[in-house]
Amino acid sequence: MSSAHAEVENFPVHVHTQFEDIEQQNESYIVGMWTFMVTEVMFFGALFLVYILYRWNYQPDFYRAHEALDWRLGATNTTLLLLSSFTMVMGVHFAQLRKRKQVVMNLIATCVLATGFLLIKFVLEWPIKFEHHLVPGTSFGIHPEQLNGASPRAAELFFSLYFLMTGLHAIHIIVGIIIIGALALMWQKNKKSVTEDYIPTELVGLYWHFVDLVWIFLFPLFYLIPQ
Amino acid sequence: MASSGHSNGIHIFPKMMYVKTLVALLVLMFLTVAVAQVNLSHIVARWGWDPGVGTVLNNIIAMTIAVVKGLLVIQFFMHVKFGSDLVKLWAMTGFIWVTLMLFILMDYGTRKYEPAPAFDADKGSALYREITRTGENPPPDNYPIVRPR
Repeated sequence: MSSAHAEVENFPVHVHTQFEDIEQQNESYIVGMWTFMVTEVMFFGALFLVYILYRWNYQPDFYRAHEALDWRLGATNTTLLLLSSFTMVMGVHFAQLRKRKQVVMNLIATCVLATGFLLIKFVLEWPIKFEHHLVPGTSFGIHPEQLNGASPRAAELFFSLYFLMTGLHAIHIIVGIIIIGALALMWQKNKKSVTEDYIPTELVGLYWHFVDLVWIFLFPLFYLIPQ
Repeated sequence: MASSGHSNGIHIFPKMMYVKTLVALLVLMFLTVAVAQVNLSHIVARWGWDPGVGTVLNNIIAMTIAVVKGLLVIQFFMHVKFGSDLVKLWAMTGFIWVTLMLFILMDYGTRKYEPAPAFDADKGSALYREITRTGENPPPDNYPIVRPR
C-alpha cells in the first residue's frame, strides 16, 4: 500500500480555486453524482411502487405470467452485470494508481460484459416475447397458451411492467456503454481531463454500480416470483 | 483497511476487498436462485399453515438477499462505507424517499376496512372487477362486479 502511495503522490492533483483542499473537491464531485442518483432512485422508485401494487393485487397471475421468462437467462445476466461492476471498480482502482493500460483493459472488459447483457436481452429474450404475442398491444395474448393460465389483463400488466422497467434499465446500460467506452478512449489517448485525477473514472463507476443495483432488484422481482 | 493519501485525497483500497465483494455477490445470487426453486408454500402447507405464508416467506427471503447485495455494492463498490458523512447522507436520501413513498400502499391496503363509495362507483377500475380467466380482454362493460365489499 505504501509503495502504491508513493507512486500516486508523485502526481499532485490540481485543486480548483473554489475548493479549500483536494478532500473537499473530491467530496463535492461525489456528492454531485449522488444527487443525480437520488433523482434516478426517485423515478425507478415510482415504477417499483407500481410493480408492488399490481403484484400484490394479482400475485397468482404474476406467478403464471412470469413462467414465460427464463430465470437461467436472468441469472446469467445478473452474473454478467456483477462481473462488469467488478471490472469497473478495478478500473477505478487502477485509475487511482494511474496504471493507464490496466484502466483501459478493465473499462473495455466492462463494456464487453455490458454488451453481453444486452445481447442476451435483445437476442435471446425479447424476440421470443414478440413471437409469443406477450408484448402489450393490440395482439397481446392472442396465443392464450403462452400465458400459462394467467388472466390476460393481469398478464398484460405484468409484461407492461416487465418491458417498461427492464427497458428503462436497458437504456441505462446503453448509456453506460457509451460513457464507459468514451472514458476508455480518453484514457487510451492519455487525455489529461480524465488521467489527471481518478474522479472522472470514479463518477462513471458510481453510475455503473447504480445500474447494477437496479438490476439486483429487478432480477428477483421479474424472474423469481414465488408461487 | 483503508489507506489515505494526504496530498491528493486518494483513498486506495486493496484489490482483495473488491474480489471478496464480488464473491459475496455471486454467492448471494446463487442463493437467491436456489431459494426461489424451493416452493415454500408447499412446505408450510404441510405444517398446516396457509400457503400464502410460504409465498410471503419466499418474497421476504428474496428481497432480503437483494437488499444485502445492494448494500454490498453501495458500501464497497461505490465506496460509501469509506465516504464522508455528507456522502452517506446523500446516498441514503433517495432510498429514504422511496421508503416514505411506499407508505402510499397503506391506502390500497386499508380500502377493504374503510370502503369509499366513490371508488365503488368506478366500475371501470380493474381493481373492482373479477377478471375472467377465459373471457374477453378487457371484460365487457356490463360485466358483473363480484368482488365483495
